Amino acid sequence: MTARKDGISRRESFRRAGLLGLGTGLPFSFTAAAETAPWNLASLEPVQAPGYGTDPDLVHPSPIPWPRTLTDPELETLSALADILIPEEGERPAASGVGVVDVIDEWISAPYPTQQQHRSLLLAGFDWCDREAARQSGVPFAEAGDRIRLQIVDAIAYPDRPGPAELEGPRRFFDVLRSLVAGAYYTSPEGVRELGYQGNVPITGDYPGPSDEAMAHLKARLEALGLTLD
Amino acid sequence: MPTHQGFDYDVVVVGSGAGGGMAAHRLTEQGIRVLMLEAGRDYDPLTETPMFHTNDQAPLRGTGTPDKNFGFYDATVDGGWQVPGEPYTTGTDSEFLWWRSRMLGGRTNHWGRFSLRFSPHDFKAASRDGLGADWPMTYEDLAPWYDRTERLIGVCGNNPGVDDVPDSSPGVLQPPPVPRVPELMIGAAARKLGITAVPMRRAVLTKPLDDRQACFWATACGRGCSIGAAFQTTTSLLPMARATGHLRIVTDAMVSGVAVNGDGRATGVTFVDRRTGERQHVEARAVVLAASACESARILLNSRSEAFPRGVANGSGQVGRNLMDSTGATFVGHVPALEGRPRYNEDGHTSNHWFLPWWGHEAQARGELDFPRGYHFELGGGFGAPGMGIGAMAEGYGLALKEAVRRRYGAFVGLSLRGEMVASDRCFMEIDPQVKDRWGIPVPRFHWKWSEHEIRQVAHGHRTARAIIETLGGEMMEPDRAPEDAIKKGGEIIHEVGTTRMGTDRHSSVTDEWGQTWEVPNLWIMDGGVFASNPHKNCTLTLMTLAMRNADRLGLALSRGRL
Repeated sequence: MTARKDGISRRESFRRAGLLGLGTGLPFSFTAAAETAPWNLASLEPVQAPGYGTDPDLVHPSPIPWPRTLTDPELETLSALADILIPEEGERPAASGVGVVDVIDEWISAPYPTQQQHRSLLLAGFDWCDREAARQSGVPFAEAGDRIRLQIVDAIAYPDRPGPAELEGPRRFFDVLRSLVAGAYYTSPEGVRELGYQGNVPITGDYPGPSDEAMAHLKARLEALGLTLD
Repeated sequence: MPTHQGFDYDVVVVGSGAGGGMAAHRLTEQGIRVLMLEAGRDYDPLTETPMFHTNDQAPLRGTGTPDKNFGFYDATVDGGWQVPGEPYTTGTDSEFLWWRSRMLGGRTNHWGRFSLRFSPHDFKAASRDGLGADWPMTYEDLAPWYDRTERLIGVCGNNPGVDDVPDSSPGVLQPPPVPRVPELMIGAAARKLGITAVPMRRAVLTKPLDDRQACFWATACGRGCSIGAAFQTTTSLLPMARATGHLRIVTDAMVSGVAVNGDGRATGVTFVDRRTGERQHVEARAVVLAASACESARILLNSRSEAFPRGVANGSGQVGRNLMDSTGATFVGHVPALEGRPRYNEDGHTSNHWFLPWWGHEAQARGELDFPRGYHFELGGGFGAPGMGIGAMAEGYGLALKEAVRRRYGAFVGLSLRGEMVASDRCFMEIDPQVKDRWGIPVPRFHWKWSEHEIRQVAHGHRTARAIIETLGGEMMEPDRAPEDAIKKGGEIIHEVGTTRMGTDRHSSVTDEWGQTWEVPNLWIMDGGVFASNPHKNCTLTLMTLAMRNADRLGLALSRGRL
């Protein structure tokens, strides 16, 4: 576990906060009155690391030149959230089983503006999930039980449903996290297979076009719309 | 005869992209010896193209970044919207983006390969609506050259009998690939609205040509093409020109100016060696500028002398004026009828097989439309290689999320508008009086403002795209987006042309119809700068066709001692 600057591990600080019924660093009265943990979107020091430059080797990409920045507790929270977003499904692995956690660590550690924005949002979101779990159960998100975890996720996973204004930040966080986790999962070889993408293979001769099955499906759909192919 | 490092030559060609590549090919074929100066580094698609590489092998899953704007695998070297150490500026209230690359072959290594001819009405638009300028020639003058160019570079497509897509001569085009499900679906909806979908014409081989292979229907063309199927000068025109023994290419040679003597003749060019920063001068019997519309105009404007106080060949004051791009806007729809459809390999040639050419000439002639010039729609959507955006419009989590992503994969369609803008006094470039690039060369300052013509055209495109999507029972994303927001920024479509326009007289144009500058007989321009207007059909094919025609004429003039 990564130690914090104050010498107390993040998980330990949540335990204490939870046991005392306190939001970390906030006055008791404010926390007691709040229905959810506070949303702290801090402006972070920008990542100072090199990008891959404007002329990288495309055929043999070098290892990522920027260091990963997530701490062990942050990785645990991310991993727990990622597997809620993309759980195991029969033979298909959960997000954490195909490297999604590492892709997102690489993503938010990159020295580019979009990724830096996502870094602020995701770190605030991990922090919020941990505080919220601690508020409800005394332990950080990764250690909370399924019931607590899903209760928290349900509150922030549906951006179009009405919800309290104080969840606006956590909902924005979850929207971005969902997009990144789904993106990382469905760009992995397992995810590509699951989608049924059949391209990226060389074909000799003419492009064969839609399969008979695909054409039959198309014609049925067009008919239902009152449209025709010719 | 001028000489450079032991190579004797006649002509200096500045730039190795579409215009420069074609100029070098045609000149060397005629026995003219060419020294080509390319600002970027040497580049070899045979060894540098990431064929079949998947997103999970790339940093950030291949997503675009400020280092690689169109994604990690895009062919562009040391370029994009910004080039390190080579800034540009914009005037007050102006937004303009200037895409450059610093590599042999220039932007032909990554372009969309869309190769649509301009049609008869495109050459004489100003005569119809009084806006901008006519071309100094007719479609009929250029038609045989279009044939020759299409045959040479290899264009797939057909003659659909639509007035916006003029016929090529029999046997010129290669067969187009068959359409795919989303294209057939959009085509069916469009037909109901009176709009015809036809095969897109692309400079992609569907049959082998010379030593280039036919497309094998995989790997996005924007990465470049190691088998030569997708046209780029680095696998075609440049090797052909080199094989004559009459071409020498100098890379990392950033041209800063054209030298002119007291008789008003070009004597050569000055360039900066980008590896050493050293400034060099090379002489020439004739100079061809094909550095791109804005780079060539910049070179001319930076070449000031007593004889040419406003810059070389700028007696008309038109150098840098009439800057045009295509209008652009992308409309996306979610079409439930495409959900859960049977999978098959939908890559094709990795871009649209069908498009919607402009259908509104007659309505425009009848005065029924509130904008003067046309547009077309490029069609997108399908079972492409998944990218990081695939989960962007989902909600929820867990198995429901997974099911939604699978169901909606391949169920979004895109209609990308590409339209014609009208040249305007508000869109131009000049030289920034203060800012210089890392080589000490003063940089362009761009001024840009769309007019109501373009805004109304995009509004029309919005309504049309919405009608097509709704005819399919689909839902348009951002249905209420204002056209002022939907229209892309100036330069963003990367079709910038017009800054050294051709015309019929020296007072209102920079060159004659051959790209020969009115004021300096041995200085010719063979990039998109010479366009008199910017029809909506993507500039590269016409730019190459003009370069072919005009390089032949230049070669003839040199052979006969006329220059």
